[in-house]
Amino acid sequence: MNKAAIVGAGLSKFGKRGDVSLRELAAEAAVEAFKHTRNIEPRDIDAVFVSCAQPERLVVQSNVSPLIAEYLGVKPSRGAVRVEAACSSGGVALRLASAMIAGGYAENVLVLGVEKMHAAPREEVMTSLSIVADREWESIHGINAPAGFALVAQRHMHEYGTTEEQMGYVALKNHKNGEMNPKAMFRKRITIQEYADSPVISRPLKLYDCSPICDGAACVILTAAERARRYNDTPIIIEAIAQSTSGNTVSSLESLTTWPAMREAVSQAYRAAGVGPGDIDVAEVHDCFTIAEIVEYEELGFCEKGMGGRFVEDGQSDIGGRVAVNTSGGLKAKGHPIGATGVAQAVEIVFQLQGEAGKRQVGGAEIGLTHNLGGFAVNHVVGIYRRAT
Amino acid sequence: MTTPHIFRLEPNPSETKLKKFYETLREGRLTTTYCGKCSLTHWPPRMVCPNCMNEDLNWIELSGKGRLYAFTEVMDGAPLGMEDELPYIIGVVELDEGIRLLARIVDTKYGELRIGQRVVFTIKPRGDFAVLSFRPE
Repeated sequence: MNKAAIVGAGLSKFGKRGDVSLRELAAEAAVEAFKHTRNIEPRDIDAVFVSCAQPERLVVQSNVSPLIAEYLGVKPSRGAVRVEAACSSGGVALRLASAMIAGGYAENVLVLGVEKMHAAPREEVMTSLSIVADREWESIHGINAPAGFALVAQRHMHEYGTTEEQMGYVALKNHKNGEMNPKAMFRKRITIQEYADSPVISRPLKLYDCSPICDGAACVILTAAERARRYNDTPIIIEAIAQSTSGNTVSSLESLTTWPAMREAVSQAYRAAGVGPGDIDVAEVHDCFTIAEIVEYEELGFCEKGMGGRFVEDGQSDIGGRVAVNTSGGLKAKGHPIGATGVAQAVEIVFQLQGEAGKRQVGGAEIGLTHNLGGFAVNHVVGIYRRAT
Repeated sequence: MTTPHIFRLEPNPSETKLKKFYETLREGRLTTTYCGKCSLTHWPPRMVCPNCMNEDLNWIELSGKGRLYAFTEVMDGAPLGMEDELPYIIGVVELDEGIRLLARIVDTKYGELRIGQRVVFTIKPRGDFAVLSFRPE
């Protein structure tokens, strides 16, 4: 099987981007990704995946993949398609693009994740996020993303003694990392007191437990690993990328604090890449809420079940800790434009493995991991990346 | 002027095969489907058994009694049409039949609730729609 390699990566500035339209936001990331390669131009791209979760509701535009391809001057002779899997859209797009290359269906694939969330009225955005849950059985009760993860947080505190302060440490770490990322939405540190004093959104979650509504785009260019050096001196090989899904409702989950679909994707990815949790130098995980990052440490095998709160409190996920997690600032500080997130995670891992992550660089990083989550922790994509040797 | 929204979140009982569920819900009864072939009680109710693809399912009435498995009070970020209901409590209830479902928790305060406490089924009107809810026993 041909492994896919990332030969170009780019990111738009994340934040409240009232200055650009959806396609212009996408172009910011794509231009940077092309500049990051050599010998490859838009006309060399033969397939396009656009990861965008809710453009119909958020910018009143559908069929965004040919739209963005046209704007970028790409004529994808092997097709353009949009991928939607809620907040995991980007990871899914990256996986499908890798499969296209592995199967020989395309040579050079552009994966573009984008979401513009600030254009719509806030109530519309809240409704859009609520209907990621099952509208007929769950959204009608007024559940939104913070409420869903508040239930996870309450159970984790109940079952394992995790504290609000430990959740706060996730926010502190990710804000500290975000300060070092010029593309991040929030570039400021916060204190544990500011965390504790932030307004309650859905008990026990406070504002600083939540990732922000954000505009942003991310882009990677993939080609077969064997051709990759033509386009980049340090290609990043996608060693494995796995996805696993459970049902969509809370009643489909065995427990709120153990996520079998994530465990399945994690174990498939480790097995296919021939590595284990101890081999990972740097990871971008789906911290849509601070409690999610805590559960993810556990499901990734970075620590024992129930010890995720202690793991972050002890600094094990800091840059310089056992495994540097969310060096980009994560969804919490870098921002969470839902369709862009899964691709943006891969962009950060590329920069880290190429030694181009600036002040937030993890020394000697060779193996990286991404974890992208969709829905009420029901869809999980796990990727493992290695610097080509 | 606020932007109107086209769709309500509440399903239209005349546009689903689960009309019977909504009719009985409005009468204050909690029902679901049961597959006699698999002896399996479903949640949510459905037209086809996900275990054996049997389409000949029976309607049964649930006890409406269970325990609170998890709950939260939503202070902000309500979907369109529910802003006036803030703050409200959402909970996961584990029915005595073993089914876990999401519902509104009503007639109580967040501070008075605890995990594992007994709750019973009730309904709360939202316009002409009955919201599936539970209250402390």
